[in-house]
Amino acid sequence: MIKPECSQKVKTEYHLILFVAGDGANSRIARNNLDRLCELELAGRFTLKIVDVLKNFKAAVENNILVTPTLLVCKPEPGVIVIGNLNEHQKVRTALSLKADQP
Amino acid sequence: MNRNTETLRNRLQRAEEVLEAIRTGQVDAVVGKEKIVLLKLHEMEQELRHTQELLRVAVETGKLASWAIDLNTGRLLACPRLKEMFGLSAMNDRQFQRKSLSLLFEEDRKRLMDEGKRAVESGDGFEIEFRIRRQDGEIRWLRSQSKPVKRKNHLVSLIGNVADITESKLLEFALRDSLMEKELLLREVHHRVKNNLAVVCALLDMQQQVIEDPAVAMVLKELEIRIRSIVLVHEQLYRSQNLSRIIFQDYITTLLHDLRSSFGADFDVRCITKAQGIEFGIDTAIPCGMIINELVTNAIKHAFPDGMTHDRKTAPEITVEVNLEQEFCRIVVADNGVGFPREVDLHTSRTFGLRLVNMIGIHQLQGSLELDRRKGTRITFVFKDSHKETQ
Repeated sequence: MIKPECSQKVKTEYHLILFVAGDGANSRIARNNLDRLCELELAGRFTLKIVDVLKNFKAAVENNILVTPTLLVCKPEPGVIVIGNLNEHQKVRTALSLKADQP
Repeated sequence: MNRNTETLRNRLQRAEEVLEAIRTGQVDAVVGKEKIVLLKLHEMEQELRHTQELLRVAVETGKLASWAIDLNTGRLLACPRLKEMFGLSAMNDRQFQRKSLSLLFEEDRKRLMDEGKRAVESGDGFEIEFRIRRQDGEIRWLRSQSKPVKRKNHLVSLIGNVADITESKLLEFALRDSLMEKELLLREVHHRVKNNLAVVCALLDMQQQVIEDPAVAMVLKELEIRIRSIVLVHEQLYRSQNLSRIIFQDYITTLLHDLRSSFGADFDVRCITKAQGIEFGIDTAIPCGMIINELVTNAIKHAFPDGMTHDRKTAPEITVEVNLEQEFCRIVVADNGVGFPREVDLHTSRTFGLRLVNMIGIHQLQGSLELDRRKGTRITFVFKDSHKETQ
């Protein structure tokens, strides 16, 4: 599950890369969801990179991105991929190995 | 072998995830081998959002409320701003529909209903201004524009907007009142000027009665008549609709009529006036009136000795013609009398009347005078109506 984009070494506990398509509705939702989560739970412990596939097509192909938005969780390893607008918080939390939301 | 199976299983799982994301509308774009395909839905959504934003800005900045009536059910949908305008924010659509109409002024309600009916029958939109008396007693002016909505050639609803135009209406009323007041005052001023000048005329008239020397009496009479030509302008102004323009046809007809009866000759003089469609401001009308006054007075007094005309056959006739050619105005005073005396030069004559004509015509109005002695007398005065440009 090692993607070329993940190869960059980061010191933080979390290394996230979000692939979006311009200002598309779902891309925007995904970005907002991720921003909120990072701010609330990962403050100071993450590195987030956003790649716009409309501007950087090569990166999308190299990383084998099929659709946008797609979130690559490079760290913690082994890393996972989350597809979609990240509205399903539980799925994202699992991918980041965070505790389940308190109901 | 095991490794391959695992890779395959992973790929399959990802493919399923991708499909699920597409199915649930969570995807903006698909990355192909060569290019990126934006999903149609995504584009339409972008466009819709853009249009919605424009609409929202228009509605917000215009402080517009909106409504819609379903023509099948007769139900009204009202936006919160509309309810706020009526002071009925707390009501639901149904309550609002019932209550809002009752707040309209009786005659406005009837007009609105008629317009609505007409819009449905004709398929055209409507625009209407109406008043409401809100429950707190406040009266507001509203304007609504509406358009019918068709679906498959059938009218399905009426949609419209409403703007609160109370402020601009009040301003409009204040302006109209102020204008009416000014007109009234101006009319009053003209009336007073006319009355005061009429008093001067009456004084001159009284003086004539007691003067024994006929030459002196004639001087006073001519003076009185000159002042009368000015009185007439003010009289016309306060009687007319338009306080700034004098309808010249009416003016010279009255002027000639007055002159004829003032210098009542033993013979009859026919007066013809042609000034259709000519209007002057007061600054042009008074000098022009005075010039015509002098020239016509001269004609009545001197052109027809014992009612004689230049050919001894035709009846005495005086014609005053005014016409406009672009910015130039031409006034012609003509008669078929015995002709202007050979020894008199129009421009250098020492008679008071002609000196007045020269003074006003050439110095004040910067025009030119021309005399034609064939077949009686024909004096043409041309000047540039500079006031026309500024009005």
